[in-house]
Amino acid sequence: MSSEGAIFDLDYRRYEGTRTGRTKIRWAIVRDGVRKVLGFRRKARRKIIPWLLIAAALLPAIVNVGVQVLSQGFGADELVSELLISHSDYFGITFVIMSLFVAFAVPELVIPDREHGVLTVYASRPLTLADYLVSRVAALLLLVATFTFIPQIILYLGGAVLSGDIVDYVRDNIELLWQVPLGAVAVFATQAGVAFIISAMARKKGVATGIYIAWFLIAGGVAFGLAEAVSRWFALIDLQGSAIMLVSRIFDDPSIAADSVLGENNISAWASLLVVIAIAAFASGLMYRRYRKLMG
Amino acid sequence: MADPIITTAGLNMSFGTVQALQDVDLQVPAGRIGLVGANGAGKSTLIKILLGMLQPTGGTTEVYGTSAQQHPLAVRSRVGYMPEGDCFPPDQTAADFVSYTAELGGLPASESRQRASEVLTLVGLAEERFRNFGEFSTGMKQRAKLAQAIVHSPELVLLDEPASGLDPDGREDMLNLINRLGDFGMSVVFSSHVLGDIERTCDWVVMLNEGRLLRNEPLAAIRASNAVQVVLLDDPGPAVKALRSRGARVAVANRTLDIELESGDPFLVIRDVLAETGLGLRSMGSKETTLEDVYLAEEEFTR
Repeated sequence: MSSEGAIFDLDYRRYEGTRTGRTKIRWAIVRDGVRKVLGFRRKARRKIIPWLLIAAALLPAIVNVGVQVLSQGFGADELVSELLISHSDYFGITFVIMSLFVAFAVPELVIPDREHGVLTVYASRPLTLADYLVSRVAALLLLVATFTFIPQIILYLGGAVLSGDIVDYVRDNIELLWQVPLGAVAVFATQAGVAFIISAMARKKGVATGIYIAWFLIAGGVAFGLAEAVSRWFALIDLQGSAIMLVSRIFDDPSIAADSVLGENNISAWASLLVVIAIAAFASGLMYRRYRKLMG
Repeated sequence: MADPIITTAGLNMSFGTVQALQDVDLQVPAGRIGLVGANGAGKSTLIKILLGMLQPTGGTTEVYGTSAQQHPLAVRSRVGYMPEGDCFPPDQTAADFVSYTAELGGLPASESRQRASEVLTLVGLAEERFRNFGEFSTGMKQRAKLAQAIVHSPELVLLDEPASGLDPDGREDMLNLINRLGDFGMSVVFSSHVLGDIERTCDWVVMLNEGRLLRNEPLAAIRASNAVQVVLLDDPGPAVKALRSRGARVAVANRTLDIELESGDPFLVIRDVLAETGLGLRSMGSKETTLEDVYLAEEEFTR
């Protein structure tokens, strides 16, 4: 070994290659958002909540398909001729888990950037405020869609295998290819608006998550009480009910929403859709206004 | 002056009733530019306007000939910015975050990781780059802030109080790094209220006070002075009287005299006065003007 050490000063190397456009920059923000929420490149404890929720959302689908495949092996053909849980039912089953996921994800997407001054870095780069906000919302949409699709794909593949004729199954269930994505968008839209409104105001992630969960827990009761006492239109306060109502309309399955506050008060899916659009518009305006002050 | 990289004309900015900038007309060449002024002089506001982060209430701003108000994204693609305050997520490593900011600056993802590593090494954070920002000291954060400002190869870097909060060693390191940026072909706008830091690093000075432009010229021109400084061994009274009778302007501090003449060679006049009064001379030479002298004089003048 040489007895003399050497310091190599690498200096600064200018980047002379081509630069990406805003689309790639937006995509970088989306990827960053997904990583943040799922805890990638973060300490192990940051991964616990999101991955537990994902596992919880997958479990019913895996159990459903698994039990039926095993039943088929034991010759219980009548039991396994079709899935025990339908695709539309699955939205209802995982709805609480999805709400908890949104309650956790949205504060993670927006609050740390604001509270730790990271917005200044975004503001100094060649991107607009709209690029930033749309990319953060897109990250949530991507997560919610993935959250929704994976168990639905498991159900779909399970159903196809159990049917005995995959081609026939795909042909008979072709409408699922648009119903499931649209259902995911409906669930995203009903949940995201309120979560972004809360996260735009709260300074701490835990507080925002807590407020969202509290709202989630009491909104149904408040909607029920006011609909009974004042007017049936107050049933629309129950946005979770709106999500179920929209999913029931998309899958053309009124039974899913029949027991909800909206179903009991004969509120149509269109009224739910209008409320969801209004909340999304309000959330967009609020976020834009709040962040314009911070990012210029 | 070669083509200016920054031009402002009639720049005004107010926040409610507070006038942050007032009729600022600037033409600044490439190089190391010091932006000096007391806290609240308008330095940070000017930097944010140059980046297009703030819209001025009046006037125009161009960076490399591009309007910062009309085309802020075009300006930002050529400019790096080191903010004064914190700008890091505490749960992310320096390598990850600086790489991400390179992507935000328009570098491909594959190149960003490599460049983040290089730039963090350059600023002296090679060993610490896989640690979370939450574990960083103030000095390490300042270095990381500089790294994110230069990682995407900007032509101009705007540094807002880069040495604030640093201990003497950290300050020294930061000033050396800023000096090196010029060697890498980057122009630097270095904002500070510590005039000595500007004198050590910059070759052009923009001086602001309460939103008004006091000076905008090369540091060498600011420091140039016609005054002669004389230190006497005896009571300077007779010499002051004799100098003033010859039309000299004399400032006295103990036995030190700063002497300026409208015309003629001050050294010859001083020689004659000393011979006439018989006073003893300790030292004599051209007076070196510091930025502090100029700043205080300008501040006094504008009051």
